Amino acid sequence: MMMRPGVRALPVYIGAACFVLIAPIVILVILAFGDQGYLSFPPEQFSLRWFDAFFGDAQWRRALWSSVLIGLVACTIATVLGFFAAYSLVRSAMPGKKLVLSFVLLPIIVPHVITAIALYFMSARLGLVGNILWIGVCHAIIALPIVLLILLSTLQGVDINLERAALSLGSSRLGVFTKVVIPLAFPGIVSASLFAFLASFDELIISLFLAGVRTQTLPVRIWNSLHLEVEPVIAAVSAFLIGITGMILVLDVLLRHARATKSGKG
Amino acid sequence: MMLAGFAEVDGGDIFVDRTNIVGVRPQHRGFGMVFQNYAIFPHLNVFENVAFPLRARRVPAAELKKRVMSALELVRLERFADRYARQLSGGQQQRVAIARAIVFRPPVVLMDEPLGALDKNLRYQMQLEIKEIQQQLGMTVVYVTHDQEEAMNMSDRIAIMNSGRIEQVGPPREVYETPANTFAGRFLGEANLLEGTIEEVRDGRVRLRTAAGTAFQARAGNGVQNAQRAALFVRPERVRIGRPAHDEVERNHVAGRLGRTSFLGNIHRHMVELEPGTEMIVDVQNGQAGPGAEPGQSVELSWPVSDSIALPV
Amino acid sequence: MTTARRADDGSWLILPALALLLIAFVGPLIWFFAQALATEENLLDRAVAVLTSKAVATTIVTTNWISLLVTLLVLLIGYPIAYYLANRNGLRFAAVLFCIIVPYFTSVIVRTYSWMVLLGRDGLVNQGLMAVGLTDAPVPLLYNKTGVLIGMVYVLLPYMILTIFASMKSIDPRLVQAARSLGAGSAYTFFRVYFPLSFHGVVSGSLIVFILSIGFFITPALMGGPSDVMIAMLIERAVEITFDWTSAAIMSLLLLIITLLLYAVYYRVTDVRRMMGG
Repeated sequence: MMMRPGVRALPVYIGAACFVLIAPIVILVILAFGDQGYLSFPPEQFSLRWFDAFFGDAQWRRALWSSVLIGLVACTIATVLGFFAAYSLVRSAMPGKKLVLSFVLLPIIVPHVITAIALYFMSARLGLVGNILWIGVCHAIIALPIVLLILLSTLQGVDINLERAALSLGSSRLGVFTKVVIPLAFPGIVSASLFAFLASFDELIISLFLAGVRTQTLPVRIWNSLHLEVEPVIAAVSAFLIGITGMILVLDVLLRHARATKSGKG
Repeated sequence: MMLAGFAEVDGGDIFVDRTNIVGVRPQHRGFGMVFQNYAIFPHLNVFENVAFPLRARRVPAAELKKRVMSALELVRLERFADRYARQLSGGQQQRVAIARAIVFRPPVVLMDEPLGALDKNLRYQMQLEIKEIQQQLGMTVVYVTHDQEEAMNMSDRIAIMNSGRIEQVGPPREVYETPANTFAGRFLGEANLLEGTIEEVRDGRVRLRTAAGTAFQARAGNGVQNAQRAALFVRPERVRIGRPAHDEVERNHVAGRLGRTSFLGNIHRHMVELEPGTEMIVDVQNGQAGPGAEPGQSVELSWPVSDSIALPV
Repeated sequence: MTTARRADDGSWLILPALALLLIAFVGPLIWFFAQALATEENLLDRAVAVLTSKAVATTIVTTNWISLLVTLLVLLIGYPIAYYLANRNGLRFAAVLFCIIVPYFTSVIVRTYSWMVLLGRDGLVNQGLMAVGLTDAPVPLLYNKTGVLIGMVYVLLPYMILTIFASMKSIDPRLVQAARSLGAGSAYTFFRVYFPLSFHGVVSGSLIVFILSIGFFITPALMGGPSDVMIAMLIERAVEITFDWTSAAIMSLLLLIITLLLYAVYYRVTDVRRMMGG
């Protein structure tokens, strides 16, 4: 009785909150398709002008290329190491599992500025600043926790008796991995690698310190441009990044579906 | 769930003391409720769990304490008032749930398979305790269970439900011995059901003939009509193997071939094949004479006519 | 050794991941602190001097104040959303989740930029305020504390919602039914049963948001004004502008220790596998 007005107010509040959560992103994407030399909403005319400016500019293109390369390195390392780590945390009788896990999760807890400065301090002395491969390795530590969290839940869904069955049927340890565990966990592995790529692709602070002039990533370019002005081409780059996020989320939903049908549970 | 108000009623009414409670919200129905998993609030201790319905009703502190303690005494948990659910055994949690459901003196207490999670021995002990508390307080308890022994042990009246419909209501003995239909007959304990056609109905008695041509006498169940299909119902423990020495009562007789025998502890259970595809179960109390025949040999079965009923199918 | 006889259970498979963390995380951190602090002869005096200097002391206060405000705001805004999410299913659940997940996985710099566009002098928010007549002239919403709070609340809200949501999902719905059957109304049930049971999530969510807040860099750097300098920004400036590695290391060490202490508390109260609402 007392909650009656509150009960009716909740959906209104939720609607407003959801609007505020999603609107900035939607508005930014719409702005990116505007035709003016400044950002105004709604745009008077739509065009791909700022996307042309983005993809037509050699510097932006190089930034995109760096981001992709670094993302691929980071996601490969994080997925492979994360898979083995998750497998060992799920299956082995290792003591202090919770402690090990919370240690691997540390890179997302420790302020990125500290990690970035420490990496920069070391990289500068080893001549690694601006090295794409090295930036990828450093991004892998940010991506590793995400991979681990996803694959822990995936591997918990793989019945250990299937592995025991494979062993009892004469399969080798390696065979159990390639023929049973990886196929069963495959949708989860792909999902994890997508989010690992995204984590690296969106990372700013470590890239900011470690990138040389020629290896600036997209977020670093955005950061540098933002200090000059809020130019419309940034809206186009942002819309592009949002598009990548959207694509990865859609793929993840599809993969979750595949995972659900594969393991026979939701 | 419908009685408690958590599920909507599709049709019909629910009356408590002539008041229709359909549409009354759960917190205003005033039923005590004991859940299958106890639903003890994990963040409150035993005392606060039991005090919960009283606090919701703004009972003054002094009276609240008195009533909570007397409810805890009733379930013999007065020394556990400060404990939390995770520090209690299953049986103790069950008692907390009961104390919580009766402390506000509800007119009706609903118990939804309250002993489902307990092992067999504890279960029997708790059945007796619940029954004792119920009689002490003189309250109505609606007790849902799938366990037939539990139903018979605890009830004054049993209602047998089949997909939302009541098949029969009555005292345990009546429901056991005089089922209203084949569902009720099969639900409580083992039952022999021999199908056939009614040949004669007279004075509450019928004659039923099976497809194999054997005729049996039986009491007429509700809704049994001449020339219609029916099933003859008789409990396995009423059937005897061989002819009893003194035939004081009128009996049905039938011949069969002795089949498998299972030993179930308190009884031996014999399967007797009357004809291919038709078997009867015969229970013989452990310690009584055996069937006096080897499996595969012919035996004669008999049972008092008054122990069998013809039920509509 | 008994371990030698036990079957290989694959626990060594964790080692490559730990090696990576050693090379690219723990190693550099130790090297940095060791090197940057080793050059200082009287470290303790220097540390006291740095941390009690007006700029740093003010920043520490500001950082804590902003982080507290952000945590509180995010909690107040996020709790009802988590509640709604935990008690709905089907389309409404999916729609609300969508509105949380999309920003959650969008780059922090993009999210910050989107609010910079909205909150600027001629931004949509000011246009809206003037159109409904709430104000005659544009209100300064950017490059001040308001801007920092809006930006940080927006970026950190999903963490809080997803953490509280996870804890609410583990509340047995029968406990709420039990409360109702015992005569409790909706409000009494909520405050006496539901909220206490979700309190765990409130603590975890607040801790994670506070931890992330005190180390926050991008949003305050872009949306704050001169008086909204947070500790992470000061550390970056020490390295990039004044090349004062020792001060940077001292401030970093303080921030790192506080973060790790809070993470230790978080570790005690939370199942870390549930982190990020997973």
